[in-house]
Amino acid sequence: MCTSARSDSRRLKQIATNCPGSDKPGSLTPVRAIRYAITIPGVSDPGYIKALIRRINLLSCRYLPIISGFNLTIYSVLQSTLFMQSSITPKEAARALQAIEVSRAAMRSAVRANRGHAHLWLWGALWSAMGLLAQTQGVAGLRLFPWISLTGVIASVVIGVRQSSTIRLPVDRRFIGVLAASLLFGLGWILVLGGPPSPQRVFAYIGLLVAQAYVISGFWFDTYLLWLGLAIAAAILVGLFVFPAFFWIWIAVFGGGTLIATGFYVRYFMR
Amino acid sequence: MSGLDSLIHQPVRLQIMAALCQLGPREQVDFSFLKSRLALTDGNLGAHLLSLENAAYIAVEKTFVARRPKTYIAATATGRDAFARHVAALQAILQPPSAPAASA
Repeated sequence: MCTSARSDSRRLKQIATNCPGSDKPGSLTPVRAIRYAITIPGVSDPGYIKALIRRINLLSCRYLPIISGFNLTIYSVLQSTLFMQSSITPKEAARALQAIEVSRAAMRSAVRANRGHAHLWLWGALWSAMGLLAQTQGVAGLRLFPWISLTGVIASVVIGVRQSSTIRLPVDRRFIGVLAASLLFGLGWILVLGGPPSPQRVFAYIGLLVAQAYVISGFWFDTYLLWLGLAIAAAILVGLFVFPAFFWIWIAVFGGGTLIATGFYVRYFMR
Repeated sequence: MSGLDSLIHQPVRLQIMAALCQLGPREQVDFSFLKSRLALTDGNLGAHLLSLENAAYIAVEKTFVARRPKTYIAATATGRDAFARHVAALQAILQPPSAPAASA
């Protein structure tokens, strides 16, 4: 690679004057310029030739009508790309890398602030509240479940809309359709077929539907959702079959607690 | 040595690409949010985004949210590759040469 501005300039002049076609207006194409440029000693690295061809092809699409003789656009691209390597000092490279790190860190914190932790904290708190209400208030507590769930859905929508004003993840509408259909049909079966015999089993059934949605979302988005779905399903099943007498308190601690703990993981430790 | 990209090396575009490449593969960032994060003006950010979009390094999606126009930006696979090569080339400049150059 050449090292001085003078040799860069000489090399560019060489391309300008010696490239076949440069003497005939309209006959110097970007491809010819490149083909000629890469024959010059020290300009034979396949990586930058590829980058150069891509850049010049892009420019030639825009400026093709004005190509005649030695084109200033090609000249400037050759200058900026072919000889850039020699113009960046280690000090400038260090400064650039530092700027990159600052920018990355700023965006990293923004990305973390926009992950799903808010939803997980919200639903973790609601599950804990439902578990504690059912454990302490009995039937009166169970009657509040639909209203608590509705509050959660509305709050989740508000959080989603707010988050999408900064960073968003476009979701395929068909995927949303699949998820909604599986949840609605799952809930519909309870109404049509009569449903499980106890409030614990109804809650476990709905909780497992939610866990299924997490697992499906895990395949689609982040893997942590898959593991979260499996963990919640396991917590519900253990509570239902191993500790039926303490089911609600179990759900409050291990169902809601799992959601809240995952929220902390997503917010502060993930990626 | 290859990989350095003059289009990306410009300080503002370097910051933009660094920020965008920090997002997930399908994530998009809002124009206003990016502007505030990088402390740029509308015109300045818009001009640099246009340069990067022309090089197919970023994808810009204009949409409406609650009847308000919104612009979302994401790095493309091409842009991510170019940025990764550029960073690698910058790092290579900082490393002391281990062997003499093969060509003149």
